[in-house]
Amino acid sequence: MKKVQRIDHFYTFLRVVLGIIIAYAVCLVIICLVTGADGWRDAVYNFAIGPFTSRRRFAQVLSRWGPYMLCGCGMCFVYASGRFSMIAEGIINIAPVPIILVMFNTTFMTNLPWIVNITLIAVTCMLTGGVVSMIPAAGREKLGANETVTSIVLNSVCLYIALSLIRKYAADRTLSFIASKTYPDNMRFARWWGNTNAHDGFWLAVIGVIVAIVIFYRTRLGVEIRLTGSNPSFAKYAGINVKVVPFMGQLLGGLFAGLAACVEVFGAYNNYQLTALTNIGMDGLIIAVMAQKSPLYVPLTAFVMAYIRTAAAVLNTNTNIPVEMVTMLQAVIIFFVAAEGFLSKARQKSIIKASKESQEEVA
Amino acid sequence: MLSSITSFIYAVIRISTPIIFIAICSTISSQAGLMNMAGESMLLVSALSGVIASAAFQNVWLGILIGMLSSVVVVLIICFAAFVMKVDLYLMSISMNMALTGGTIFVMWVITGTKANTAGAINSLALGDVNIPIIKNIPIIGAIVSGHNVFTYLAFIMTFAVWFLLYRTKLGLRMRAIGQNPAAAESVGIKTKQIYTIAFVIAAAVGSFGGMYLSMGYQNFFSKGLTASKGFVGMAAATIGNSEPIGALLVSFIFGLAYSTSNYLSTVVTDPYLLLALPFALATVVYLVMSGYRSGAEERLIRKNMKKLEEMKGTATKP
Repeated sequence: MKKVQRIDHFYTFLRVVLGIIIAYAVCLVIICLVTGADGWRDAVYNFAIGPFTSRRRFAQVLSRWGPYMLCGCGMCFVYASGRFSMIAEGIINIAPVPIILVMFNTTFMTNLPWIVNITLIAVTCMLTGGVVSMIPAAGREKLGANETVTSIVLNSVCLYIALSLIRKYAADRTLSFIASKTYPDNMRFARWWGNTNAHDGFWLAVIGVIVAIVIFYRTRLGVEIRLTGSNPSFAKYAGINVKVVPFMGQLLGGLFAGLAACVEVFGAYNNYQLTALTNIGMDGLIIAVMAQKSPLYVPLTAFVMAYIRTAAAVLNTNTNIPVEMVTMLQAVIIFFVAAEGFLSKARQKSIIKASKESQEEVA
Repeated sequence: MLSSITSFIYAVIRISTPIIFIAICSTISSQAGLMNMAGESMLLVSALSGVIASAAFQNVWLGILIGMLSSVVVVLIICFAAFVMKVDLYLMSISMNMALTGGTIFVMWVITGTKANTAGAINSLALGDVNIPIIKNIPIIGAIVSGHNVFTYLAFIMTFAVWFLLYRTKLGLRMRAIGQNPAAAESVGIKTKQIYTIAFVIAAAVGSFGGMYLSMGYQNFFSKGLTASKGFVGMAAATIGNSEPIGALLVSFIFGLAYSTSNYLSTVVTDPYLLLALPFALATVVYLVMSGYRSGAEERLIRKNMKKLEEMKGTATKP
């Protein structure tokens, strides 16, 4: 039995790695086709090695890695409870808004020490994220509305309401686009690597991942979420409340997405300047799928995603190929990684072979 | 005053058109028991390929055909992933939506060199407006009903075509049978995966007109962010309309009303972002309320039948 499990794990791992490699290869081929005979070497170099060529670029990877880890962990809870709530996308935009309004309209936070302010910011962002995520969750569990539809339509509402509030109460009138004023030094994550984008929020993300792993594997709620997601009727007959547990899963997803928003908005930028949906929520789902719904592997897959995104940005600045190219990768990755049919025949064969061998040993 | 009212109703019909297409194509798949999350993909891919093909061949009908076929191809990829490779259907649809949001921009950049829109770069064709001969002279009705785009009239024809398909053909009966109970349908020899795929392909063909209306009727170029989650608003409209083509049509008009109200209010309300949020907020609220009402209605029906059953038992044991 152990042997079969080991083969199963091996093939899952193979599927993920092959999926990423195939998607990456597709991307390289597209780059070559677009740039043509003379420029392809330069373009491929920029895409493959680009993020590691300078300190500034690697710091870019690090600053993306933080929110991706948190959002990926959040999506693990959502996805593991068998739901596809995409509200993380909207939460990234709206979660920092309440605390920004307090920041620029009152003097409450001006003289508080850094650590108190940051705790305050993180907690408010998480709470806002949690509250927003409860709308599609309650819609699903109480009213029977499909949470994917509700959450995706709600994302647009979140985006526009956030923009409207920032425009009205916290906008910097000297700028030609909508953005808040620059954050004071005691209300943001400090940069720790010279003049690069790497910031203290990264450590918060690491703590967040550890908390997620503990909740997922070492608490009663984590077990219930995993059980309900993998087999709802079994969970029901085991005495688990199958209405409350997915709700809690989506709520946890919202809390983590709120924290991701905090790390992204108060770390990577000097002011609030999100004027469109960030795509972090969607990337979080891909990260969770690649990690096979397990927060333990999220740091690794989040790094892959951060690397690919940065590579695309580097490629864009150097060769003008648009960043949007890598979003096409997502479908390819999902196609292979989430496909139970991919490599299933080879897996079946090796399981049969292993079982026969063990049978012979017993005989 | 009267002319402003008629022009408002005209605008409502105009804005509702893409939502109608997506809503009635979602009714096909949801009658077959699956939700059509790929509406956004259908809109995007058909809008772009319709524009490119019509510009390349300088023939609008060929453009429409190719736009329709490309939408069908994308849906076939999704069906292959879901039914053969066993990826979760919703997961694949969502990621396909996201992939095409970027992918269409990338293809547009490859062809035109800009990321904003195809206007000016390529000379694409569009379908024009139609004035209905006698009706256009009737005072109020003429101003509302006549003079719409060809696609708008097609949307109404499609609604009845889909109704006919679902309720008056063998294929439609099979779809509804699978939608009610896949296992029972399979036991009488209906191939569920085949019917699912056929339902999705027909849905893709219908939905593609919505995308082509956006880029070849409403405006005559493809631009970034053209669809703006209309795929999901349409899907919500179909669910609110109880997955009936006529109901979906009516609910689409409500959303069209919200969109055009937010357009008209822009002269009164100074906050542009709140107005942009209005149609989406309305869609969310109505969708949640109607879902709640419907799941409540099921429960009420069960309770009523239980009561009836108990009463029957009571009368049976009395004598």
